[in-house]
Amino acid sequence: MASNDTAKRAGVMTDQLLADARALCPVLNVADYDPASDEADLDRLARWCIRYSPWVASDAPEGILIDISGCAHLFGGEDALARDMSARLRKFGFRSRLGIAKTIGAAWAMSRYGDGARIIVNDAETAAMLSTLPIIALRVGHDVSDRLEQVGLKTIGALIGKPRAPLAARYGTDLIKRLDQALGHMSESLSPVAEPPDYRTYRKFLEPILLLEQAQNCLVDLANPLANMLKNSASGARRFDLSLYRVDGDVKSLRIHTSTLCNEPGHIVRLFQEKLEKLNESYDAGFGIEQVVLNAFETEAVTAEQPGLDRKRPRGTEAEFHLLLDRYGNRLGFENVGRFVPNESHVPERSERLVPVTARSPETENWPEFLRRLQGGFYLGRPIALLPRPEPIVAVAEVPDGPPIRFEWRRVTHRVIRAEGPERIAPEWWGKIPKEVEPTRDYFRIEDKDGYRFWLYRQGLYERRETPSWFMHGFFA
Amino acid sequence: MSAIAIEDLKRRISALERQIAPANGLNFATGCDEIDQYLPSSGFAAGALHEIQGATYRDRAASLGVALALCARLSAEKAGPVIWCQLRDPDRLHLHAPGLTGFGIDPGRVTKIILRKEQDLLWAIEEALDCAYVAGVIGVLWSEKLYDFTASRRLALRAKESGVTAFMVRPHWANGATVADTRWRISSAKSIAPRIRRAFLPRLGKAQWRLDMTKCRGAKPCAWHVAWDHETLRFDLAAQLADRTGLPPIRSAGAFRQTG
Repeated sequence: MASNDTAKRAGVMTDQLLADARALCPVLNVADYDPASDEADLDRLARWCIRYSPWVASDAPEGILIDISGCAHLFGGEDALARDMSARLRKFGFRSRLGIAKTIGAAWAMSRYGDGARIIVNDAETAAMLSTLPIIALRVGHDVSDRLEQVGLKTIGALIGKPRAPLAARYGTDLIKRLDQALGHMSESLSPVAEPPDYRTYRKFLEPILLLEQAQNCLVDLANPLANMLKNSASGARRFDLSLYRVDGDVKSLRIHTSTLCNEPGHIVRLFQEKLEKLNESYDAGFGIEQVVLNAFETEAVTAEQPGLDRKRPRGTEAEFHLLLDRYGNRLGFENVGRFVPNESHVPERSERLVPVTARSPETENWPEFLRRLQGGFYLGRPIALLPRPEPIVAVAEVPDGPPIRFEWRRVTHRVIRAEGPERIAPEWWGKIPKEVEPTRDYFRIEDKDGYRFWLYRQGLYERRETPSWFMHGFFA
Repeated sequence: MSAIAIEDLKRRISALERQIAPANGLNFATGCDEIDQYLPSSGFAAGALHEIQGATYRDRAASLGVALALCARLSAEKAGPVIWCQLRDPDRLHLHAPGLTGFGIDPGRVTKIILRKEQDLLWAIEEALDCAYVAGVIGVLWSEKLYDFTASRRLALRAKESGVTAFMVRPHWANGATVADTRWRISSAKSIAPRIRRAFLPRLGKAQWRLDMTKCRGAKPCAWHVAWDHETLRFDLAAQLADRTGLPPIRSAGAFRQTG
């Protein structure tokens, strides 16, 4: 059981019976312990903290770790940052304790056991400040700290300078590790809650904006410096995130993917504009948006290209085509915008794959080359359209191995007047265990008496005494 | 109103209507002289809207084939990607990439876009027509409901501006008025190929279609019987088979026999 300050003042204590607590404080609000949703809330708050630094991790059950190296000056120094953060958290209804120190361990200790709600420790006085804190502030278990207290080691200062080997032997190496981490003798890293972007630009508003149109205008101001940063480092990104921070702590992120490495501001703006327009129908800005952040992910080096000298919209360039594909992909989903790549298989339905245009193309995806290897020529005599799966037909062949002379497909009888085949296509015997190997197919190109052309096959070979069955698979033009 | 003002208005209206020919004035030949000479732009106009429909439900594959064949002819004139737009399940038929080789189209050049709604399909086609880098767009509209005069006009204007050619494959029952430059009804026809001795059935010949031009801007409707040659990638005029029903089957003499 946990209780807030107001309840504590009324006399409610941890490990109390609920009936007793109710008697002490009749207006007590009781909620069941729900660690999953607590964690989800903490995670949401951690994501909100990305406004201060991209490197944020949630430290369940009650903490959030933020690496503010190089970020504090953006808020006017560490003190101003801490002030800003606790003020904002108070507005959300949270009581917070902040500790800023050179190591995760020290900051953790200061925020929980330090004297005051906001403690900022200089690098030089880390050890001195830590010395006064109890052992439990080292992020060790109660069992370890209790045992240390029994032998009279009550503060961290008592441990500093003590011989390490006996301590490690008696209380575990974890204690020494935590001590070293707090003092900065051992490195510690945090895994961020969201992938930190490679490049980021942001804009804060003095007065929260209420309309998404204003965010759109702001987008241009964000995309230009971001694109410049990318260009200056001769790189481009494949993914961009636009995050809208609402005053009440809600964060809305929009994401776009690009099929090629992108560092063109116009390209970024165009893709986000469509997303924003769509969002506009459902988005409620609430009390306003106070910050907009544009992030770039998955950056890679690009070879420099000579941009057009005129500022007009380029026409007939490859870049325009890539923009088109990106717009398709971001509106329809990239799984619906595909190109054909050859697949190493002789079975017709498996010989092609549709991959998203964003997929990077290895050199092997060369169709003419592939077809030459598969069949020895560019022209295969393959139909232009296939049924999603072959459909069984009733066929009559004059000789067992020959083409059918009549067949019935979808309740229509066709009389065959021309035929070519068989073209024998065997499945890959190496792909599956022998029991599951599909029967070999004998394909025929068929023309019926009206001039329609079909691709059908007989499955099962007479010489293997398999029962043959006929299937319709495709259509020629 | 003065004559000058009227002239000015006329010019502005015609500019609005984009009556001026596209700047590049590109067109592509079918390879069949009779058709090319008959068409007013001596060949198919690029940067225009062409509609292709099967004569019956069974001619769907043929209509796809003609669209691809025309696209192949276009590719000879203009490099660039081909965009194929279709709904998620277009009548339970889907494009088979190796089959594109019969039309001389490298499957790697084709971008296939699958859409859920016809509205998105028209949007996708319009956007593709706006991108001058694209060579051609094929839109499969087999369940069309929204494609009408207005929608086609939008597309035609885009096509004219950018010079991208659109091939709309429509269902056989479609008959509403659109602003398409040409409209073709395709029916499959029997192919012609010599019989190989001792073969049980004769081989397939070149694909043959009856192309029925039911609409053409600047020319009267006409019809041709053509064959598509996958080696030369061109249309050829084909002679139709004589109707021999009622005649006794020809006992082919040795002279007609081919060895094979």
